[in-house]
Formats: sequence, C-alpha cells, structure tokens
Amino acid sequence: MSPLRLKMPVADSYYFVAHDYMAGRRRLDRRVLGIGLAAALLGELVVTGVVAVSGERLYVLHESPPDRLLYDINVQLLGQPQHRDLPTWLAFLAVTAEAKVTERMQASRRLDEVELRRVIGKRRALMPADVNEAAWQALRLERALTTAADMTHADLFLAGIVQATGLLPHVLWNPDTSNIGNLVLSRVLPLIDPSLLAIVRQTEAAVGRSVLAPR
Amino acid sequence: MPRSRPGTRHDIIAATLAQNRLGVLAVVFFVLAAAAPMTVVAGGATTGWAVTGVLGIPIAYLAVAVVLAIFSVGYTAMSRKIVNAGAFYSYIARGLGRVAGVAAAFVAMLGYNAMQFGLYGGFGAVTTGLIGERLGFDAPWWLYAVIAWAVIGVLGVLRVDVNGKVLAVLLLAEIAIALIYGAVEVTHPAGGTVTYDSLAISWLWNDTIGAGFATAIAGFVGFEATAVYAEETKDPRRTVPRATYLALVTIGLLYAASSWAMSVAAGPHQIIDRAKTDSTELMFNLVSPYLHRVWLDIGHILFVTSLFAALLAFHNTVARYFFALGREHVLPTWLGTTGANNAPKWGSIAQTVLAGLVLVVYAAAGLDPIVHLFFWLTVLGGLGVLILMTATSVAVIAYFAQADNRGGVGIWSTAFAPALAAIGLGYMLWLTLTQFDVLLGVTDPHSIVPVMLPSLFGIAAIAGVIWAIVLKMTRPVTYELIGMGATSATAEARITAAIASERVR
Repeated sequence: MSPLRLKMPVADSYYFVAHDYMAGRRRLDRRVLGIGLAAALLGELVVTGVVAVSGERLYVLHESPPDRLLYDINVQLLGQPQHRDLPTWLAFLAVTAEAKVTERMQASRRLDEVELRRVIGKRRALMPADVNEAAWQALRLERALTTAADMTHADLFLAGIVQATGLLPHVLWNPDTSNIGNLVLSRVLPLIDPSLLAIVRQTEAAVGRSVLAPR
Repeated sequence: MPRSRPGTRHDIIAATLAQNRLGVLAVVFFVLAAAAPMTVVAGGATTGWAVTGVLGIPIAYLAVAVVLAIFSVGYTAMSRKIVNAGAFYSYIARGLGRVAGVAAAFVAMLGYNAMQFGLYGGFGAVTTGLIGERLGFDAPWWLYAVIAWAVIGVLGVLRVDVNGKVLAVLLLAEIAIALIYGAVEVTHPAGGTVTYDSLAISWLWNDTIGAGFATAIAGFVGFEATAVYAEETKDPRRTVPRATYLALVTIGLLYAASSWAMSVAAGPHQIIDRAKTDSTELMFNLVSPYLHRVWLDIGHILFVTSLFAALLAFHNTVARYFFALGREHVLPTWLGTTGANNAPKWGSIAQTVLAGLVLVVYAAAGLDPIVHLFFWLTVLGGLGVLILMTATSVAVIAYFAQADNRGGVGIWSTAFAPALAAIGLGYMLWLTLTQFDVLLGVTDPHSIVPVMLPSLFGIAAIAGVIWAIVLKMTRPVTYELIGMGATSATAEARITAAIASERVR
C-alpha cells in the first residue's frame, strides 16, 4: 500500500514502474509500454468486475466502472460486440493506452506537465507529482515479492505484467533477493484469478510477437 | 428512430488497428536490408566466380529467383494459416511434426549463424582494403571485423535499430549505384561486343552449375522474412505474397543484370581470371576507367554499409531464433527474456559470443577472410536455408493435405506449387551437395572439407531429433509448444491442463 494514497489503479502503478521516478523517462520501448498499459487497464476492468476473461474471450458483466477512463472503455466494449477476443482488445487499447492513462494521472494530480530546458529550445514532459509516490510502486512490489507479505490479486497481476514486459529487473534490483522474488512470482502467479492470469499470458505473447516482428 | 445494424456499425477497433499496419513497400524494405544487394553483387558474385570457376552465375540467379517464387506460393499461403510464425521451423513443425521441427530449428540456427559469421570476413576484408588504399592505414582484416562485432553486439542488446528510413535510403542508393555501374559496364564491353554467354540457358544443364546455384541462393537469404510480418500487414492475404514476389523480382533481376554486366565488361572468357586476381574489387576495377573517383568511393562506402546492414540483420535473425526457442522452452528459458527496450537480449548476447569465438579461430588460424570466412560460410548458410526451404515445401504439402487446414486456398497453392518447389529445390540441393568441392574451390580430392561442412547440418538435424525425443519423454508440455513461438505463453497453461486431465483419466 502506498503510504500516501490508499488506492492506486493498476495502470497508474504500472506507469510509475515503467518510468524513471526522478526524470520521468520511459524505461521501455514505446510499443511495449502501450501493451503493458493496455493490459493494466484490462486488469482494472477485471478487478472492478466489469469484464471477465475466459481463454482468449472477453465477457462484459454489465457492472458499472468506477472511473471515467474505464467507463469509456466499457462503452467501447459494449459498442463493438463483434470484437470479443482478448488479443484484439489488447492490441487496440495499446495504441491509445499511454495517452489515456497519462490523462487520467494528470487529472488525479499524480503526474504534472513540466517544461524542461534543453540544449536547444524546451520540451514538455510528464513528471511524477510526488517522487515518493512514484518510487514507492516498484519498492512496494519488491518488498511484497521478497518478504512474506500478503499480496492482493491486483498486486500479483501488476507483478505479472511487469515481468511480461521485461521490467522485473527494475523491481527486483537487489541481487541478494532477486532470486527469491523470481521464485515467489513464478510459484504464485499461476494461482491468481484466471481472468487476470489470461491477461498476463496474453501480454507475454504480445510482447514476444513485437520482439519477433520488430519495426 | 433509425438504428444502425451491427454489420454496418463503424468498426472503430478494425479502423484503429489498420492505421498501424504495414503496406507492401514497408515489408519489402524491412526484408531487403538483410539481402543487401551490394554485398551480393560486389562480394558474392565475384567471389563465386573466383572460387567455383562457374561462368553461369548470372543465369543461376534468375533460375533461383524463379524457383523461390514458386516456393513462395505455398509458403505465403501457409503464412496466412499459421499466426505469428515467421520461421521455417515452425512451418516444418506444423507440417511434418515436432521432431522434424526441432531438427529444422537446429539446422536454421547453424545456417543463419554461419551466414552472419561469414559476413564478418567480408566486412573486415573490404574495410581493410578501402581504408588501406584511401587513408594509407594498414591493419589486419580482423581488426575491423572485431570493431564491427563490438558495435553489433551493443546495437543488438540495446536494439538501437538502424532507422528504417536510413535503411531504405541506403538500399535505394545501393540499387542505383549497381545500376549505374551496370550501365557503364554494358556500354564498354570487352572486345567491343556485348556478349550473353553468362546468361546462356544451357548453363543450367552444365555439370558444375550446382556451385552456381548455391552461390545464388546465398544471395537471396533474407527474403523469407516477409512472412514474419504477416500479422502486421494491412491485408495478410495480399500484402505478404506481393511483398515476397516484389522482393524476389527486384533482387533477382538486379543480381542477374549486375553480374551479367560484369561478365560483359570483363569478357566471358576473362571474367573468372579477373575475379581471381581482383576479388571483391572486380566490380569497381571494371568501371574505374570510365567513372570519376567519387563514384567509386560512393560504391565502396555503400559496399561497407551494405555488409554492415546485413551483419546486423542476420544478427537479429539469430537472436530472435534463440528468443523464440527460449519462449518455447526448447532452449533454456532465459534466452526468451527481453530487455526493457524490447530486444531479444540474451539471444543477442548468445549470438555475439558465438561470432566472437569464430572470429578468434579465423584470426588465430590465419585463414583467408574472403574465401574461407565470407564465401565458405555464407554459402554454407545458403545451403542450410536451401535444406530448410526444401523441407518447408514438403511441410506445406503435408499441412494442406489435412482437409481442416485447406479452407479458402486453391490447389495450386496447396499442392502443385509446393510440389514443384520441392522438386526444384531438392534438385538444387542434390547438385549443391554433390558439387560441394567445386563450390568451395577445393581441388584436393582427399580433402575432407567438402564433406565435413555440409555434414554439420546432418549433425545438427540428428541432435535436433534426439533433443525432441528427450523433450517428448521428459517435458511433454514443452514438446507440445514446439513451433508456437510467441504464443507459447498463452498455449502453455491450456496444454498443461489438457495433459493433467488426461492423467487423471
């Protein structure tokens, strides 16, 4: 749990893990970041009971989503009943996930837009409003995975997509405990909610595909 | 109130996804970077003449292009059916079974690695020559090879891909300079008359043409990557075949025309001796009396960049093979992990280590970088790909022989074309294997090299068969994943559950 705010959506946590908390820089290829954030958003929909996943198929459960972004995605889901397969939605959401999640994080004052001076001209960049809050996300996962702490399904799901997108070394940075963390994750991940696990596996496959057919 | 029917509703999903899809030209450019025209024309064809002594290499390029086009009919038809499988071994696994698939994967690893190792020899030798002549700085070939090796090792892990636009510009420049040189050569023929001896169709029945075919095939390797992009294209049904044929026609005509033009300028009777004395400088020496030195410098620089682009492309190909096999758990799983920048990190490192070892051996043994490293190993790589394509043709027939897989594909694509390709490629394979001594330029009848090099593929295939059987007995889930590539992640749980329920029963 964040010491500052009690609840943070999975996609926001993932965004912080995927970015340098001091400089706000991406730690990932842009395509993979999109896949990771899209997976996180689908995970939020599962956690809030809006959708369920079975195999590669999405099921809309008509539960009302708690926030504006999830509401919009739900509207899209309801409006496109011909598309119900997970890979398609993951690919579709990946295109706009970064823009949507950063918009939500700016609205909730987790990210601030700042102007950075460059050698030539200026550049606008998104920085964590609270460095501690941003840094805490990776640390929280690290502690949870390397100690005997209890983890929620949402936390394990977050750890799963962090691993699937190649970010785990940033979380399990400490060589003394990283083996334990890897072992714990590999043992516990298969036991999480099947809908969430299906999203993690699909994320892994999508990242694999983007490695095998690079642009 | 009017209501739109579901079928006519605006499909925002399909529209958004379509925006990011690749067109025909984009795929062609991705693929031709590996084929590297300048490397093939200035390096492959000339060394081919020098080593094999076969004049008919230009007609061999055309013949190979035709056979590969027929091969592509079935290959691209199957690429529509098998999602996210861009590698020959996954086609072979689906068509001929998983044991054959692992054998093919091992053959492919050896072949593509050999191709990449060989290119270091070309890069080192050509760069040494260029810098020695222009800047007067003499250094051994392996120094430049090692520099390139280090740069590629870093680029591979960071996946700082050379920008697609840069590659496209370099590719177009290479094609342009090859055409300019060709035009100069044809307008200045030896003895004053344009000859067509090297394009004579009778060469195809000559008893040394196998060496010519192998030389030619090595030049086409890389075109098969079009299928990798099947899922990323606007319309896989059309885009992939069109890109494949366009790539084949472009490079086939270019290779044949450029090498023929060289034979015209040197004269068909002198070309082989000239190739022996001038080696990779032949193409430049033939045009040097008629062109300003700037044109030669541009050509040389493009030759070096072309070799480098090919090195990087094959490095990435091998790294992705390691990655895909790691994902399937056929090779150690750590090979299937990515770096944060979407690079097949450990696959890349593994390839770099292997290439480093080969460079050390060649430098220490003092072998010739052009003949023993560039030519021998790239044609060895070409042989590996020839074996894979022959097997893939058979796999395509076997795959489409199952009625479930046939839907919507005509009999020309599912049976006739692949059968023709299997016969054509099998014939070329037979000729290549029986004439491997000619291909390597080995005249000593007691030399074991012409037997040893091709039999490496036999060893790789046998090792693959044994490993597949071991997997089947000890790790049945992994065995089921063979050929699945990136989808292994989603398939694994399903297969584990299926096997578990079978045991319960």
